[in-house]
Amino acid sequence: MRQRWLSARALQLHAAVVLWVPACLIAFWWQVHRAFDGNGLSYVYSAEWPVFALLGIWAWWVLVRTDPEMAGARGQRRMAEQLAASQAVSSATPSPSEPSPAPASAGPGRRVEEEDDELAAYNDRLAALADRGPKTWRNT
Amino acid sequence: MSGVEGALRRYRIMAYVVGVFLLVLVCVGIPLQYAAGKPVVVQIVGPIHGFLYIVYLLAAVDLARRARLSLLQLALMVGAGFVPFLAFFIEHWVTKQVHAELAAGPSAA
Repeated sequence: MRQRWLSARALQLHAAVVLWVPACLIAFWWQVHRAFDGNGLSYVYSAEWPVFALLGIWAWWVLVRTDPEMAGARGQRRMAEQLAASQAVSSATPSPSEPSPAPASAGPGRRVEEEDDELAAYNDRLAALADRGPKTWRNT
Repeated sequence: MSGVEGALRRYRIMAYVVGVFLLVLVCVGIPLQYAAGKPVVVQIVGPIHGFLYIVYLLAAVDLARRARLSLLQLALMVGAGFVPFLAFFIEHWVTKQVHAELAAGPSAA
């Protein structure tokens, strides 16, 4: 999915993370100096700035992988239509529970182990957009 | 869309908590430190606000990915954590937009 990493939104995210992480590291270094100069509060802030940098990297990774073209309710309606279409295409792996092409009830993401990575990622996104939100550690 | 609603609730709680701590820090802590020479409020509330801001950012990014918020919206949410009073306005604005999106979206169940 190369275009995912080169879309306008993805490029904005790349620019944001390229600015965010060095800024956090500079602030971290500044607080370390202040801490060594005897400012007790700066010891705490020295611990927080690297976390902000890591948070930026995590957000960049997560948001680039969220499909930029599918923003909002309009995108979700479009994805629901595509989900119905994709279930017709992927009839080679029939859903065990739900023969009808009802969106979201038979999420293709449940069959990831039978698919190659790209198709699995695409199906995960369809299922997530149809109902559940993104596939995370909470709802895998 | 329970994922979006839960993420919105978490974000709203954290927005209010971080907003209130930031107001305490700016309106009480900093005047006490520089006018009265008593840095105790800043020393306590400052680090707490920092760690709460980390949690707030987690909630904001989680909401941004689930509700497909724009990068401008996310940038304003990030800024709301350290600009006094902004958290309350941004929280209201984001909530209104997410609710509108939820109302317009399909109820795929």
